[in-house]
Amino acid sequence: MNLISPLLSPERILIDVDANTRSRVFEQVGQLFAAHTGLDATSVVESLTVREALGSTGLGQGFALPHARVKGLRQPLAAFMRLSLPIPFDSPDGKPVSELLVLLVPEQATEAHLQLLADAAQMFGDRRFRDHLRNQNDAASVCQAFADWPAIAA
Amino acid sequence: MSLRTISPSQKAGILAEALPYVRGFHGKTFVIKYGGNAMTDPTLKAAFAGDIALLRLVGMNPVVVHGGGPQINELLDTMGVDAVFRRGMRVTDEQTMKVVEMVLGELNQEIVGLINQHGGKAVGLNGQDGHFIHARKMLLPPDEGETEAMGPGLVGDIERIDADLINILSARGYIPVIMPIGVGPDGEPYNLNSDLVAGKLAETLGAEKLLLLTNTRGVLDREGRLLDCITAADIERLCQDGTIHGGMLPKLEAALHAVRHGVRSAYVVDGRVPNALLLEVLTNEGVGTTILPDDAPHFLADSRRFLEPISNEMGDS
Repeated sequence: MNLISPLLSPERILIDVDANTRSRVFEQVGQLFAAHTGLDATSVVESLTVREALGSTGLGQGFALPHARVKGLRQPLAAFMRLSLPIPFDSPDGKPVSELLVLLVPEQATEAHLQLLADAAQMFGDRRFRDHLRNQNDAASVCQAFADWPAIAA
Repeated sequence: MSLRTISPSQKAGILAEALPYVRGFHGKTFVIKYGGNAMTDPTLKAAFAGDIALLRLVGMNPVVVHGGGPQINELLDTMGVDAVFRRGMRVTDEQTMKVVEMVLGELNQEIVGLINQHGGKAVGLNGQDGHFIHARKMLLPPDEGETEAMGPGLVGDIERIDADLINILSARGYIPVIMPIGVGPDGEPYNLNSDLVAGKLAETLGAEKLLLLTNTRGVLDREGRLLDCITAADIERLCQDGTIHGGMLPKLEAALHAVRHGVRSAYVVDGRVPNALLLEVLTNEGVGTTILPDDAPHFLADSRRFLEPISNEMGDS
C-alpha cells in the first residue's frame, strides 16, 4: 500500500485523452474534478497553472505530477490521465509527457501533503512500475496498479 | 519482435508515436560517444549508422565522437609492441602515437562511410582540423620513489574546444564524426580520452543530450542491479565508494561534466541493443542509465515553495 492509491478512484482515471497542450490538459482535469467532486473547475486550473509556472512538474520518462491547492478541499484527491499522444512538458529529460497523476491538496497544505508528492515521485522513479502502469488500459486496472505499488516492484 | 510480424497500420501507429519526440528534439544537438560492441559487430554497426542518419534526417543534430582502444591494442600487438598503461592512461611514445593516429583514422573513415551509405552526410574530423580541439600534455603526479611529475607521453588533457567548425557543419546538414586527437600549443598532436572529448564537446555545443554507448546494461549498483536514473551527486558518491570503477569512470566523468555544464541529460546506453539510440531519443524509456543534474528533478523543491506560504501561516497560528 502507498499514500497515493486511496486518493484515486476509477471515475477520476481517464485513458486516451486528446489534448495537445498543457493548458488543454489542465482544462480537462478541471472539468473532471468539477464533474465528480463538485470543485470549481476554474480555481483548479488556476492553481495548477500557478504551480507549473514555478517549474515544470514533468518528472521524465513521459510522466508528470501536476498539483494544486484548492480552497474548500478537505482531503487530498488524485486523478490520473493518459494522453493519446505525448505533449511538450519541459521535463528534466526533455521528453514529452503522456502519463499524468494530478494531485489536489487543501489550501492549508502541510508537510504531509509534500510527502504525498514525494511518494508519487518515488513511484514514478521506479521503472518496473512505469512499465507496468503503461500496460494497463482501463480505469480499473490503472487503479489496481496504483494499489499494488510497491509490491508490484518487488 | 520482428518488424515483419506487425501490420502496416501498426507500423504507421509506431511512426505516429515518434512525432512528439521528433518535434520536441528538432534542431537539438546530441553528442554520441561511439564505442564497444556497437563499433565491432557488423549488425550493430549498420544499425548505429542507420540511427544516426535517421536522427539527422528528421531534423536533429547528431555529433559522433568515437574511440578505438581495443583496435589500437590489436594492431600494437600484431606489431609486437606492448601496450603500457600508467594509471589507466596509455603511455604513448611517438611510435605508438603513429599507430593511434593510423587506427583512429581508419575507423573514422569506416564510420563516415557507413553513415553515408545510410543516407547521412558524415564528415570525418580530428582535433587538428581547423585546430578545433586544443590540448595540453597530461602530467600525472609522481609515483612512489619518483621525484617529479611524469607524463604518459603524447597523451593530452583537453584545454578547450572551439564549437565553430562543428556548428558550421551541423548547420549545413553534415554529421561530424570526430576522433579523439587534440593539438598542443606547438602544433603537436595528443591522444585524448574519447569519453572526455564527448563530455567537453557536449558542453561546448550546448547539447541537449550526451549519449555514451557501452558494453554494459548501464550503471549498476553493488548488487549488479541497473540504476535507471541517477543524479550528478549520485555519481560522485558511487565513484567515491568504489561501486564504479574501470572503464566506466571516464564515461561517468564525462557525463558529470556535461550535466554540470548545461547539458540537460546524459545517458549510459547499452550499445549491444540494436537501435539503442532510437530507443533512447524517440521513446519514453531507453536502455541504460539516465543521468540528470544535481537536485533533479527540481520538482520537490519547487513544490515546497508552492506549498510553503500557507504552511507557515499554519505554523504561526
